Amino acid sequence: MSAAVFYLLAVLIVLAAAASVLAPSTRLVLLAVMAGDVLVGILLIAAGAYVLGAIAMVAPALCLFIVAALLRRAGYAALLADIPGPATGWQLAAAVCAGLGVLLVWTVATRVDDVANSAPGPNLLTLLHYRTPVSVGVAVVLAVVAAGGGLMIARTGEDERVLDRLAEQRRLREQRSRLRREHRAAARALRGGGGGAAP
Amino acid sequence: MNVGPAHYAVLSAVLFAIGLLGVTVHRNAVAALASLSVLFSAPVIAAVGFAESGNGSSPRLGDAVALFTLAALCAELIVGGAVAALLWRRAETADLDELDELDA
Repeated sequence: MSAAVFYLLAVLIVLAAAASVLAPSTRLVLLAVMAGDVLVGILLIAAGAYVLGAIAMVAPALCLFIVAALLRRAGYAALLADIPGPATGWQLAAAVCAGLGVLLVWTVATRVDDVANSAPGPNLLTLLHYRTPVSVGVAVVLAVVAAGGGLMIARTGEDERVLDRLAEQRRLREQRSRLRREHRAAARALRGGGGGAAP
Repeated sequence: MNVGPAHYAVLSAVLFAIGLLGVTVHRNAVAALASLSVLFSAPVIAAVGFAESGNGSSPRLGDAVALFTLAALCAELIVGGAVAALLWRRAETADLDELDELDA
């Protein structure tokens, strides 16, 4: 790969990643991340990893899109709502991330050049088919188990509906008791104020 | 000028730091989940960069490692989305700052 192509893609990838942090809305964050995933796939293809690049370009962005679409359609649209402002303690997080980034960049920039430059070995499909077939099976099993686990966690069966009903009743109970407390406190304050004013 | 493993590694390091920042700074659970995707891209780029620049006598094991990382990323996105939905059902909030109790 030529240096110009690499630098162009690298700048675009970093910009997409930065946009995913700075974007003001959740939708823009998702779009920036998907764009970054596609750019990473293009970089991998440009680096000669064609199969992997195609997978990297499609799979993560597609998974993210499916998750967002399912959440939106299954009554969880509020999960995708915008929450303005950064999380508590973001300054500390930013400092730690910057420190880690500087440490990583310094380490790899000073140590990685020991790797020899030469022609690449067998391609990914040959490697997976002839040398690591068990690993491919494990990866497939991981993907299937993840999909099954995700469906099981997010399912809305009868037991889940019972739990939701119980949680709703608990919320209502707590709300009523909070209102009662507030009314009592208000009445006490009124009596106290009235008592003080009465002759 | 040739693109060596150090170029990929530096890009990977920068992406990792930005992804980590995104995960810790976002308050929305889904946005933090999406930022994990950026974080996972970092080792993929590093592995492919090393595989491209590695010794030709050995197979491109880096590609296989990257494939596993991508599989783990997809699994994480699916399960993370399901967990976010579950948290929403229990706590009715997507704000990670408000999820400060394990028995929400």
